Amino acid sequence: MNKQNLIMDFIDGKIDPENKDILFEHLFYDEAAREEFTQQIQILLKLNQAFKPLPVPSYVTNNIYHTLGIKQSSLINLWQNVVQSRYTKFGLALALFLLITLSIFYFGQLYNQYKSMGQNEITHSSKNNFPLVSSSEMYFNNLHSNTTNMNTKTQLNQSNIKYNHNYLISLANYSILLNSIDNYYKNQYSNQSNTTNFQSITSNHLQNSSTNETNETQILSKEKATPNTFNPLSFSNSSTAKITNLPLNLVYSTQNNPVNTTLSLNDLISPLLPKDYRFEINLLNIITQTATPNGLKNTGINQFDFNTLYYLNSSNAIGLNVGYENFPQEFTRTIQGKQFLQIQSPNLIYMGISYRYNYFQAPFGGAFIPYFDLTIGGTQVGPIIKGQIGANIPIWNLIALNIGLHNSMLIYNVENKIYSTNKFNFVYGLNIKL
Amino acid sequence: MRFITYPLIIHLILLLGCECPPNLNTDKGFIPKESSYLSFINLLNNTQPYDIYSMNIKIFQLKKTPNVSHQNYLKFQSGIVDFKIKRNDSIVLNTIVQTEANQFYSMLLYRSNETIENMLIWENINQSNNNLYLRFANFSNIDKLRIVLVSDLPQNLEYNLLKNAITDNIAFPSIPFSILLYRLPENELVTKIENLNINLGHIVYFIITSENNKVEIYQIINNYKIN
Repeated sequence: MNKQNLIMDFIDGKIDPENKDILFEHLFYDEAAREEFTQQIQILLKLNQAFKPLPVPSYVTNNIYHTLGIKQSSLINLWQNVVQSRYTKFGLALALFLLITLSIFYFGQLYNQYKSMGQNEITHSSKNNFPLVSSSEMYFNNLHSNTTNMNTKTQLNQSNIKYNHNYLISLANYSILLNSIDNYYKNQYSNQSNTTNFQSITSNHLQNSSTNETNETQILSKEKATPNTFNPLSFSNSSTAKITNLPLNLVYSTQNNPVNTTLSLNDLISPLLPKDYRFEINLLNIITQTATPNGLKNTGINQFDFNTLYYLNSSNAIGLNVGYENFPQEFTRTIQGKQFLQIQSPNLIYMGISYRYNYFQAPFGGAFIPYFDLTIGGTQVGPIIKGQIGANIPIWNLIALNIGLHNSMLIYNVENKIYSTNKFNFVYGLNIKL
Repeated sequence: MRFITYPLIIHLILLLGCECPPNLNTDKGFIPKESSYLSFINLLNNTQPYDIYSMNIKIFQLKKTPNVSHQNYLKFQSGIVDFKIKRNDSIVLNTIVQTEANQFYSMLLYRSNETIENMLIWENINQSNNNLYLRFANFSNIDKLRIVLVSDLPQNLEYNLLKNAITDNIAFPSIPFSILLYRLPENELVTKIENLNINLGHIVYFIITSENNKVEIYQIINNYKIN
């Protein structure tokens, strides 16, 4: 080992007693070695005396500007006080997280819809290339269901939209077929020398509708129609004969005013909204077995979780969480070129979104309702993931006792290295249904 | 795609929303990766605790040592580092210490609260032997002392100790023993401690002090096995 390495080992405290004797022998006889040793010690002393520069708080710079009579731009002031604030950064990160999560949910739903639309196209196409339903049928159905409404425009049945999620999707598929169907009937009717008075046929038709001659028109409904019974080319049975009584003008009217198949955002979201929603609040106290790291004060805080839930149906709920929890941390950091293991146990406020599933089919379902809860959120140092299993035990009216086991994981970044803290807790509290 | 998206999202959140954990306002502990072992022997009569800093890290809170105290060695950054003692945020001692990795040291702090002096003592011990080591320091006003260790051993052990001097580590079995202190050259018995029995794996300092001609012995029992 050369003398430079011996000197560096001595400075770092890694030198063993034999090498230490060799180094001191070097220093005794070798003047150059003595000089180098002195220089290294001086460098080290200067390093030790140097403090790590800290960012100057904005109020200090503001005071300096004020004292010097320099007016600071209000925009710079705003930037320093608001935008650079760690709370703003935390808020922005949380908002971004929520936005991304909601976007994933929304686009996932859209993807499923498009996927199901593709499947519908296959299932609804006629096996022998004949249309299963025509715009004329829609005309009939509308006219029949609402005899007081004399408007001949085809309209969407609002009750169907509300209660049948597939209706809009089916409607969009049908619209592709409608043109070919209508063109077919148009050609069919135009080939006949139809001299029927438009007014008289309309009145006949309305009379038929009002006298509940539904059997004859329902033959065309998609449930009953089969390729055999609904083959317009055969033109031999009574049902199709009935259709031939349709006025040509009305068919044209339907074609000129096509079915409104544009799907608005509201139409897309409304089927997704729950029918039997309800709210629930959970107030939980968190008990942790893991002690504060050695040598640190045990603050003994009350850890809690406040959770509001919105039930999409009886079992599934989404919600918002706010809580206060202690997270022991251990991470490596470099101070003045030397590595330290830092231990701390900060109390952190967290916010997040949660999903809960209640299992009502469990035995003794009346006595307690097991649940599973997953929360994803953030603290000022990093994201947090929490899982919880437990049970609600009804005690009085809408109030239940909530007990469970709870696991929290905090993920954080120190000097570009990701660390995590995992905690296992016992939780108890109240569950209030609203 | 999700295997790329989720790590990206997590990293984005970590970068945007991060208040660096080392900066959190909370109680902190630091353990050096390359460390020696250090114990403090406080002979100061300080009523309020002093804070000890090294490399701008608070490593210890120095309280007044009772006459008999049990201590553990703390991990201390090895190499050449600064060493400061602060009282009410004002520095009362600022020095440099050099320690070697995995070696045991004792830091004596003495004199007065206004002018604190320090002495770093290397403990020349063989840790694997798990011995009991005894060490005597004479900080009294007696110029020369004779120390006699009386036990069931076939022969008493005797040591002479000058003022402000410290003995080497004396390996001793874990058996009951007594200490007798004589003033030299009068050979007058000054004080004694009887029926001591200390377990193996300790370095015990017997610090002899005097105040108003009354001689006192501090026993500081440092456990070098629990680190």
